[in-house]
Amino acid sequence: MTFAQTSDGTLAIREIPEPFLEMLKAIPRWNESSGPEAEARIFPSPSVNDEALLNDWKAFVQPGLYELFLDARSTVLADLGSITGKPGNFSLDIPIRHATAWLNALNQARLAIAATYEFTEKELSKPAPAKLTTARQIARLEMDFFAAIQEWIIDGIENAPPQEPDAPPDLD
Amino acid sequence: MGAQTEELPSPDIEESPSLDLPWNVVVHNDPVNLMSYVTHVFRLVFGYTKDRARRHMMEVHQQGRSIVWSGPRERAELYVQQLHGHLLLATLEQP
Repeated sequence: MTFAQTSDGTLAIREIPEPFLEMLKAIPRWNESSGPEAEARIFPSPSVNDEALLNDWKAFVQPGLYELFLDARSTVLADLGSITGKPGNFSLDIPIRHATAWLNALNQARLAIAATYEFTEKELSKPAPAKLTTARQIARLEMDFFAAIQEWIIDGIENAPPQEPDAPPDLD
Repeated sequence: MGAQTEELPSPDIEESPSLDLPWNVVVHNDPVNLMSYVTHVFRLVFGYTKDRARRHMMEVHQQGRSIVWSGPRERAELYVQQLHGHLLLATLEQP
C-alpha cells in the first residue's frame, strides 16, 4: 500500500490490500454506531456545571453538530464509492477539499471504536498487540490504521498547493 | 428652578460582579485524539501559529487541560462549538 499526493493536492492511496480496504469501508459504519458511551464522547458537554447552557446546547448546537458529522460521513462515503482497481490493487483518491471531512470521519470512527471497546489511556499509549485473534485486537489495529491516515492527511493539508475558490453559481 | 426631583426606587437587578470577566475556552486531554490532530485544529479554529498551537497541545497532553482562548462569552461559545465540531473535548469556564 502506498500513500502519495498529486500535484493538485489530491491524496492518493494505491495498492490497497483487501483487509485494509474493508477497514476503510468500515469508517461510515463506525460513524453510524451509537451507544451511550460513544454518544457522550461525540457530543460532550460544553460546561462542567452550567445546567442552562447544557440544555441550550442540546437544543440549539447539537443538531448543527449532528448535521456536520453527517456531511463528513456522506463525503467519505462518496469517495469510498469511487474506489477503483481489483483485488490486491485497489486505489482511493481523496480530493484535498475533502480532507477536513476525512479527518472528521476518521476521528469519529476512532472515538466510537475506543468507546465501544472501552480502550483505556494506558492501553492506547502502548503499541498495538502482536496478536490479532479477537475483535477487540482487530479494532485496535483499525484505530492505528485510521490514525496513520489522519497523520498523512494532516501532512497533505500542510503541503497542498493553494486551492482555487469554488466558481460562483451560474445564475442564468 | 426649584422643582423637586423624585427619587426612583432602585431597579431590581441581580448583582453579578463577574459579568465583565472574560470566559475561558478550555480544552481537556483525550487519549484518542492525536497530538498532530489537536495542533491542526487549534491552527484551524484560532489561526494560531504552529508553535503556539503546539504549546497549547502539549499543555493539554501534559497537564490535562489548556486555556486556549479567553474573551467575551458569545465568542467563547462559538469557539467551543467549533472545537466540538472537530471532536475535541472543550468546555466554557468563567474564572
